[in-house]
Amino acid sequence: MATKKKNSEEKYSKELLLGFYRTMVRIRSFEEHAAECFTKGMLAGNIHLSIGQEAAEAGAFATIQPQDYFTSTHRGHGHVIARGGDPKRAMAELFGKRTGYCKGKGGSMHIADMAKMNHLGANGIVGAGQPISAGSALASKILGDNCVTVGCFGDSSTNEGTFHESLNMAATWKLPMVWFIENNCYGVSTEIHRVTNTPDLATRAAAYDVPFAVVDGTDPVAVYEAMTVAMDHARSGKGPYVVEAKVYRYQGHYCGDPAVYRPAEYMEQALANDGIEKLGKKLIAMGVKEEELEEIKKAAQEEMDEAVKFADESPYPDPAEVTDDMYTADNERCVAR
Amino acid sequence: MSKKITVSKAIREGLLEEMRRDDKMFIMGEDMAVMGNVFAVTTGFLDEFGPNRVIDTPISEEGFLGMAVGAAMRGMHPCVELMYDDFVTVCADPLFNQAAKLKYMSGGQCSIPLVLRMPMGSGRRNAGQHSQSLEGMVCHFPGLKVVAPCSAADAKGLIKSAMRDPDPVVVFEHKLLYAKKEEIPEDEDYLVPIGKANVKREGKDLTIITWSREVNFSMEAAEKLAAEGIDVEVLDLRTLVPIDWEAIKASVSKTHNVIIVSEEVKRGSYAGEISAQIAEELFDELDAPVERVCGLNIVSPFSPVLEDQNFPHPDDIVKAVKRVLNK
Amino acid sequence: MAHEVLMPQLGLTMEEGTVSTWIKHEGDEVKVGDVIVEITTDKLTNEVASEFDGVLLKIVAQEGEDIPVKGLLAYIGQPGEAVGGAAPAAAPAAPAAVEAAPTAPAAAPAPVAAANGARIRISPLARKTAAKLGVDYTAIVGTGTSGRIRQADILAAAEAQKNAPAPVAAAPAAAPAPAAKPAAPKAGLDLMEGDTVVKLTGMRKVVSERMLASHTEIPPVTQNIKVDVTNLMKFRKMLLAETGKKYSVNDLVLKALAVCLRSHPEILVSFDEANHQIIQRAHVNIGMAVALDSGLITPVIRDADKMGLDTLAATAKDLATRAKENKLKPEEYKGNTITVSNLGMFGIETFTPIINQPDSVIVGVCAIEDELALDDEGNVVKKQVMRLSVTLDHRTLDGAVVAKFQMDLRDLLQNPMSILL
Repeated sequence: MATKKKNSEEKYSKELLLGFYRTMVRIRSFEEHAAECFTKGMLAGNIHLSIGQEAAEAGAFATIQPQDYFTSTHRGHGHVIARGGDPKRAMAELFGKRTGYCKGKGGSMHIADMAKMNHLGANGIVGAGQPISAGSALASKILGDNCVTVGCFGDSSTNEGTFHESLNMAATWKLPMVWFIENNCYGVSTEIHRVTNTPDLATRAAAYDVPFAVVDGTDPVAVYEAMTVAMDHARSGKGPYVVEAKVYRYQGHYCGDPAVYRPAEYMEQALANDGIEKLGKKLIAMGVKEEELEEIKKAAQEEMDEAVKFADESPYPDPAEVTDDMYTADNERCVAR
Repeated sequence: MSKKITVSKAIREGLLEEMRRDDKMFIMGEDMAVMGNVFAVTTGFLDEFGPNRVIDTPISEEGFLGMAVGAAMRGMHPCVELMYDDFVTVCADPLFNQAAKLKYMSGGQCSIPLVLRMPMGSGRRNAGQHSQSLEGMVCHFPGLKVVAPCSAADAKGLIKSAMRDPDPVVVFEHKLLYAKKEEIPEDEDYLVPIGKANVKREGKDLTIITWSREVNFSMEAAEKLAAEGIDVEVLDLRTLVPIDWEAIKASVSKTHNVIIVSEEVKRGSYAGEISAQIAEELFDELDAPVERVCGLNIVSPFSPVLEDQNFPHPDDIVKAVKRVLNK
Repeated sequence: MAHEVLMPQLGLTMEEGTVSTWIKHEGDEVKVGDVIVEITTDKLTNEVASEFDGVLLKIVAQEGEDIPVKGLLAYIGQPGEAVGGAAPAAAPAAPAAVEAAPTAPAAAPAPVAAANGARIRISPLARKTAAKLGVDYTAIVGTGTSGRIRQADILAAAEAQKNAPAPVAAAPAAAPAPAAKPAAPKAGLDLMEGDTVVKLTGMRKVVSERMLASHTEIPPVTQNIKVDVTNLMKFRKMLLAETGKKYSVNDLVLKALAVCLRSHPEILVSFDEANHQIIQRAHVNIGMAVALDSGLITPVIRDADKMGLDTLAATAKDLATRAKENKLKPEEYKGNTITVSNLGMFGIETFTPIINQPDSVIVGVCAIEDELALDDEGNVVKKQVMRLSVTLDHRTLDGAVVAKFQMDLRDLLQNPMSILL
C-alpha cells in the first residue's frame, strides 16, 4: 500500500505539475460550462459532474499510455478531458448533436471513443464497466499486446457483484488491468459508510490477493505515484492492481440536485482541500507566476466557450438515422420487425 | 456427400472449424476446457488451442459474460456458453444492456461479435430453473440476433454463421436435440445463413410456424394430419431475429391458416409476437384466427407427468390444427 | 338523413321477431354498442345494439308488435333531423352500412354488417375474396368456428351464384310491409272481471305453434315400460364413491339411450310429408327438453353416442345452464333426431310426451319409486322402479318396433355396467 509522501512534488518537474494543473482547470471549466448549459435548458437528460475529482483524474490519466484502454462511468466527462479527448465533441454529445462522440446516441453518460482515446465507453449501469475492463484485459492477454486496461469506477460500484466476480477472474488469470476508484463517499444520496463496512474500499482487493493503494485524490501527485506503480505492475504481467482515490463531489448526484442529504461539513472540508487551489499555491511556491496560472484558466475558459459554441451550432442528428447503428450486418432487416 | 452425426457433435464440428480458421475466436464458460463441456461440445479443444482460447470460468455468469463483451469490443470473437438459458437472468446486464446496446449507444463505433450459446427447453425433468424457453425475453432486446436450430445440419451451419457475424448472436440449443443423430453435409465450409427460414414440409391447408425441438413435433403432427387428409406446411424459422418475414408471408398467403408452435410460456411469448405481426400485416390473408400453441402460463414442473402437460406434443398440435380448420 | 334500425335476422329460420322492450326511448342519446331494444324471436330473447351514435329519434315498432326480418324498428340520427320518408317505406333499403367498407369495389359492395344491421362473422380472406368475386355474403352460413364465413364458403356461393338463373344483388323486393301482421283473424274471447291479458309472444308463441302442429299432424302412441333401477342407483353411488363424480339419473338415462340407439337406428327417422318420404337420420342427436319460466326449449346434444359419460354429462349440464340463461346459439337447439323429456323430479309417474318434430320418438323419463317385490327365493324385497313413457309417430314407426327398443333400453338400465362398455 502506497501512501502520500511529504514534498513528493519536488521530485517532479514544474512542467508535469503545470500539466496536472492545466488538465484540472480544463475539467472544471468543462463541467462549469456544461452546468450552465444545463441550467439554461440547452441540454436534455441528466448530467453528472466531476467537479471535486479533477486532481485524481489528472494524476491517474497521466500514467495511462496511448496504447492503453479505459472504461468510464456516468460521471465521466473528466476522464475524457484528462485522456486528451476533444471537448467540442464531448460537449456536442451532451447536447445530443450529430457531431458528438456517439452521434448523439449516447449522451453524457455514454461517451465512448474507440478510435483515438481507446475509450471503451462510459456506462449508465453501475458495475457494468468492471467486467468490460476485465474483458479488455483478457483480450490483451490472449493477443499478447502490451496494453493495460484501466477501469474507472466510483465508490458505490464496489458493492456490485461484478466487482468481485471480475476482480477474482482478473487476479486468477493475471490480467493486465488497473482499477481506479474515485471515492466521493456518496451513491446518489447514500453516504458510503452507511452501507459499507470497511473504511476503505480498495482493501477488498486483498480478498483476491490483489495489491492496492489508497491515496488522497485531491493531490494529483499522490495519485500519479500510486497509479504509476499500479500500471507497471499490470503491464509487467503480474495481474491487476486497485487504486482508490479519496475525492469530493461538489455538486449533488446530478446537476441540479441540491444535496440536502449531505452535512455542511462535507463541503467545508471539500473546499478547504480543493485540488486546484492547493496545487496553484504549490506552483506559486515553486516560482510559477500567478499570471501564468490565470493564463491557463483563461485559455480553458475560451476553449470551453468554443466547445459550447460548437455544440450549440452543430446540427441534430437526422431523424432518419434513428434506426442506424443497431447492427453491423443486416441492420435494416433486424430493426424492421 | 453426407454423414450421420449427433447434433452436439455437429455443434462441436462447427466450433472446431471456426476456432481453426479464426485466431480471434475463444471459448469461455463453465466446464468448457478441462471437461470439454457437459455435452462434449468442446472435448479436445483445450489440447489443441490452449488455455488462453478455451477458458474454464468460475460460476460468475455476469462477470464472464461481461468480460466477453469487453473482449469483443476489442475485436475478439468470444463464444460463451451458459450451461442453461435459465441462467440468463443472472447475467442479464451484460447481455441486454451491454452486448445488445453498446454499438448503438456509441454511435456505431464498435461491433460486439459475441456468440452466446444457451442450452434451453423442457423435457429433461429439471424443474422450473433449468427448463425454460426464453426466446420471447431474449428477442425483445434490440441489438441481439437470435437463432434456434432444430437439426444437426442447421446447428452446425448456424453456429458457423454466428461466429462470423459481426453482431451478438444468441444461439438457443434444445438440450433434447443434442443426442439426435442426423445427416449433415461433409463439406467443411457450409454455412446456414442467419435470417433464413426453412420450409420443412410443403402443404396447402395450414402453416405451422415453429422452431427448435417443436419442429420435430410439428413434423410428426403433419404426418398424422396427412393421414386424415389435412395437408399442413411446416415452416422452421431457424432464425428468430431477424425473422424471415418473406417466408412467413409466402406461406401464409398460400395456406391462409396459421398456428405458431413453441415451448415458451404462452403469455408474452415470441410466438405471440409473430402472431401479432401476421394479424397486423397479413390480416386479409387469414381465413381463421392465428393460434399460438405454447406452454402453459406456469413454472416448468418437475414430475414427468406434470412436465408433459406443459409443452406442446404432436397431439396438441394436431388438435390445434383441427380447431383452426374447424375439422 | 337518419339511420334506420331494422329487425335483425337472429337465426336461420327466423322470419319475424317481437319487439319485447324498448331499453332506449325517443329522445335518448345512443352510442354505438348501446342496447336499444330487446327482441324475442324464435325461442330466445336478443338484445339489439345501436350501430350508430346519435339520438333515438323515433320508435316505429311498438312493444308487442311482430316485425318481419329487415322490417323497420326505429330511426337514429341527430336531434332535429328528418326521419325517413313521410311514412316508413314498405321495403327498407338493404345497404345500411354504406359508410363502412371503404375499399368496397363498386361492383359488389362488401358490407361489414348484414343488411339488417347484425354483425357478420367472416374471415378477412373470405371478405376479400367476396369483394373480388362480387359475392353478397350477408345470407351465407359460415362453416368456420362460431359460424364464421370462410373462403371456401364464398367460393361455393360464387359457384352457386353462377348457376343461379338471375343473380339479383340484394334486392329486398319481396320484404313484407313492416306493420303487416300474419293474418289469423279469429274471434277473440270475452274478458271476465279480474282477467289479465298476456300477449302471446316469443317463446310461448313458438311453443304453442309447434306443440299444436305436432299434436295435429302426428298420430301418436305412448307406451310405458317399467324399469328396475335398483342396480342403476347402486351403480350411481358406486361411481360417486370411486370417482367422486356425481351423475344425475338423467345423465345415465341419456347415456343408456345413446348406447341403445346405436343398435336401433330405425328409431331415428323423420317423416318428410312434403316430399312423401321418410328420412333415416345418421346422427344420434338427442334433444333435451329444458323447462324455462317463459316456455320450453330443447337444446341438442350432438352425436351423443360418441361421447363418454363425462362429456355427455358435462354437455347436458352446459346446455341446460345456458338455456336457462337465454344464452344458447340458434344452432344449438336445432338438429335433434330424438328427444328426451324428464319429469321424474316432479314425481310424475307416467305421461304422454308430445313428439318434438321432426323426430319420430320422444322418451319421457318418470319418477323413481319404491316397490315391493318377491325375489327368487320368494322373499319380499324392496326395489326401485322408474317408468319410461315413450311416444312414437305411428306414421313412421309401429308399436312393436319401438317396444323392442324400449326393452333393450330397459335392459341396459337394469345392467348399468353395460352402459359404460
